[in-house]
Amino acid sequence: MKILVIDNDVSIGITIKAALGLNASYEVTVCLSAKEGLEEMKKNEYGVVLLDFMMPEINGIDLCKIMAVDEKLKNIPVILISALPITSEVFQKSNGNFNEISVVKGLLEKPFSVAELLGKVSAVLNLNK
Amino acid sequence: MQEVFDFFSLKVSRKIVPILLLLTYFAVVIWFVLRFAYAPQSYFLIALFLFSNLPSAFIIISKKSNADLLGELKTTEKALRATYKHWDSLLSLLPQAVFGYANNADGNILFVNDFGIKLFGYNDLDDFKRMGYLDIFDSSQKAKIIAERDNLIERRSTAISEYVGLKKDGTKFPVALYSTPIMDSDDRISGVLGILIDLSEIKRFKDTIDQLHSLDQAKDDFLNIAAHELKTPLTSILVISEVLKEKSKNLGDLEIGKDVDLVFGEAERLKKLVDQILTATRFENKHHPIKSEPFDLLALINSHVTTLKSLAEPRGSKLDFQVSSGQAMVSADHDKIMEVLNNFVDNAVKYGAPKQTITIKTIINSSEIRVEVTDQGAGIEPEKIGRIFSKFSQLENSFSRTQEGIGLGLYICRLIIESYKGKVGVKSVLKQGSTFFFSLPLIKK
Repeated sequence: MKILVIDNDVSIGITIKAALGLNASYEVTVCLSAKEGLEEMKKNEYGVVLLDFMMPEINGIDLCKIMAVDEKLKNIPVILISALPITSEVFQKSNGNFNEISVVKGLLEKPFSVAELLGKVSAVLNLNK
Repeated sequence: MQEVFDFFSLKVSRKIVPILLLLTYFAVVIWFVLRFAYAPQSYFLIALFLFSNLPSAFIIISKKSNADLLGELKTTEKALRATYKHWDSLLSLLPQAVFGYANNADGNILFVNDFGIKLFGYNDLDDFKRMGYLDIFDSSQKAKIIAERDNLIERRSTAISEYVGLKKDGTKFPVALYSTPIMDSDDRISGVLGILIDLSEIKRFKDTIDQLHSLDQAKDDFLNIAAHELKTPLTSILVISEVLKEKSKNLGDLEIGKDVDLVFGEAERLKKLVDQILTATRFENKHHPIKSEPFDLLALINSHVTTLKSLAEPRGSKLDFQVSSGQAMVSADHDKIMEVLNNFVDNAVKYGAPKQTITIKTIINSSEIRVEVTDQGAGIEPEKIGRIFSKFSQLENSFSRTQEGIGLGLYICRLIIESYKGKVGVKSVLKQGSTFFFSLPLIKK
């Protein structure tokens, strides 16, 4: 299963890649900007995208909005990663349906554990089966 | 000399005249009685004489002479002078400028106290009196001052306003002006009385307080940002150490596994600290929405008996649960309430004696439930009790700290409980132990 990580913070990319690497079936690619990520998504087919909430230029939410209206990308599930607890509250307001941003299927708040990361990823992958 | 003469001559005659008159009456009466004692018509004459003349004697006695009036006037004047001096010294003593100005176009200053003269930097009263009342304020305020004066006079009311005062040397300073119309004896407004307070000092205090507030805010903001910024590197340390641990297991290298455990443990500790700082800032922010839903607090405690017991195990302590039967519905975030109870129990274990019994007791009355955690420890010194629920309470004595942490735990407990309209507290007896408690209002089922 191909997984894409989009985060401007290099160390988070490496960290997630290392953690997901514990599961041999995952193939992880890391992009350092939303723009780079968009190109990568158009080139290859990904099962899930792990996306940082706060990024310069195009942030996580904006990228999700772009994906939501793109025929090719709107079905790729996204897990938003954030250091701010506010994200979960923002999404709770829309009854957990993530109405506004349809591609978002999960949230991961920093600092997370390996178990949380693997759990979220496999849950979202199962959701899309 | 004149006074003495007046007093002597008039006063004596005034006292003598009625006495002489009375004596004359009695003499005449006795004469009549003796002369016409047995003549019936004499009674009529006696009566006639007495009644026609006696009142005039009384009038003479009671009537005050001009001299008396003069004397009284002088006494009154003396009293008035004394009162005037009294008020005048009071006015000059007042640490506020008191002045009056005429109700005319010039609004010339009528009087001002010593403090007012000094405050505005004038030499003396005459120097000050050359000014119109508008001259002692910054010219930019003219329109406002005139409008307010007119309003004051029209309504015959009192006004309080803030203006910019203008000293003789041109220095501007903030003032508060209390003014009220002065009425004459015919109830006409002859002028306006003003009390002027120099606000420079107060403004300085206010600025200092504002500065301190913003510094305090900056400190909170810094803590908050720092805590958030720590989250990303913490994620890497925690996750990578877990990954390393997995890999060392696969390699069969137990030594590396132990080292990695250490890294992981310390990172966890750091994470706890970061969480504490963030929880504190979140609950300090009154605008931040907090989760609140009804639940049974007794059921919550009962469902956590095992977890709570595990907290006491490392020091061989026992937990004695004295939980009431029935239900106690409260409205709060149950995770946060458990965090408070965990914190109380954790503290009781840490600060209490090893192998002690810690009692967890609930007390329910008509309006609230109270949860008490009692240890058998050393107790808390009375001088420390007051600050125990304050922010950074552990930092006070940083060199003699015996326990880890920065003293946010109990502070957070207080913030959590207070945000759900409850109370926290502690009772402690040295060498016997402490009881930490929190209470929450019960909601109707």
